[in-house]
Amino acid sequence: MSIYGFYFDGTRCTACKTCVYACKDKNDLNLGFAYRRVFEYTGGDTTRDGAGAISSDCFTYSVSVSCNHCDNAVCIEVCPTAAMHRDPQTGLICVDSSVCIGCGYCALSCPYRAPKVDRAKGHSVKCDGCNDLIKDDKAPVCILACPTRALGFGKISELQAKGEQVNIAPLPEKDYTLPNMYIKPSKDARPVGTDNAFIANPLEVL
Amino acid sequence: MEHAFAELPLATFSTLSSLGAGAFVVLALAFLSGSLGDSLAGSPEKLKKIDRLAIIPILLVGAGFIAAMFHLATPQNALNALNGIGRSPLTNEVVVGLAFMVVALVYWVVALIGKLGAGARKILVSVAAVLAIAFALFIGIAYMIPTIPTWNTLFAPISILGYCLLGGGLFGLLVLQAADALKDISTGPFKAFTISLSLIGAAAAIIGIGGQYLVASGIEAASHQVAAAWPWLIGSIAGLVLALGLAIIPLIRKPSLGIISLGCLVVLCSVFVGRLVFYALYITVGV
Repeated sequence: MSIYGFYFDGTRCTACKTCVYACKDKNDLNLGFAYRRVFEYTGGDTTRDGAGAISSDCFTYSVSVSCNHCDNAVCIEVCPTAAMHRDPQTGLICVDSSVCIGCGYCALSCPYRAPKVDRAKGHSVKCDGCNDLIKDDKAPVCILACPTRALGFGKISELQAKGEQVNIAPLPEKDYTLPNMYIKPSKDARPVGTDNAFIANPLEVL
Repeated sequence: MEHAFAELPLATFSTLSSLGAGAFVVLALAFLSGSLGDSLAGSPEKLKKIDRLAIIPILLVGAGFIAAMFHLATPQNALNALNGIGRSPLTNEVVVGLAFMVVALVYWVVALIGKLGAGARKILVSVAAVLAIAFALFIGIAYMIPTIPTWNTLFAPISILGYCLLGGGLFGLLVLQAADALKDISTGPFKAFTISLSLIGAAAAIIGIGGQYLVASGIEAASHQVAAAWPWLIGSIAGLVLALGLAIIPLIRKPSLGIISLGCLVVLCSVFVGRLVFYALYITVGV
């Protein structure tokens, strides 16, 4: 079980992606890799009624997601080498790059697409919750960078008091992996499995 | 089909390994049904030839494992894949596959140096056959991941088992016929067993791949992949039916190396296309 998790306030996030770039900077990530991604989720219709009046139920909202360090982590379950493991001190899920063979099983299985195989590095890469900083009693860089203070990080018990376990579109049903991401959903947040809505920035996040 | 072409090494692995391993099921049937051993008692050259040619299916499985290496980012650490034994379905698959390889190679080497008695031969070839079937099932089970709804169905192992029995059967017949031994065992239970095995194999392969496709068809998020995979699915099923015919004809008529070789080629292509369909249907429950 993880000790720590992320917090996300959907009522504050502006989808500015400062978290994404702070993370890319700290982890020196190349094009094609981002441990944190901001999903822009858009849907609804604009319609004209018989009298010519136009009405709209269009919406868009953003969700900033990294690895959720899930309690029921499918990446750890399927990993043939045990490279994908939980740090015994922090409970954060990390990749042991000296053991990983880069088979991509974690990347295939994770419904949040958190791990990805970096063939140039020869192993899987993903958000480790800034495990090094946490051990120094500091916060992850994405949290520090967020200009609207929409992101948080802390002990699960504290996060549970602030929000609900993430269970909104376009993310999967929480019961699959029990993510350690707690959120305050925005007014427009839609339930998992919503139709008539889509990820508006697929090239940026998938 | 983009995802399928991204997984070419895995498609090659699952095709070659299941077909190569399955050949040992038919070899086991040949030696266990008695008539082959009896009729070959008088012609040790034929037996020697069967033993020599048994390297063909072993090499197929070996080529499968080598293909799988191309899928890894750090193949030189491949043995780390054994760390997850009992927990990771992928490790279990590799362990059963390696166990098959070891038994099959021991069988082949001991048979070639002429130290394999009739009793020991029956035991070793049977163990290899059982491991071949287990290997096929474990290859399929490794894809049953709860977060991948289009793969997480029993159709995944059923299809690979089918490929193993039908396609492996053809490669087993290839080994026997290339040693000109098929006519010696066309009598007795071998024929009936092998025909039944090919029928069961073809049925399992078609039910497996078709069932997989139906499961995916019911999932809205997979609709794009489902539509794109349709012609490949039809091509694969047509090939499997043709391969079934090419497996049975040499058993009920005069054995022919040409027909069996053609059957091997057809089954190799149709299973490979079937595997591409399988990988093409990949989606997760999430983003």
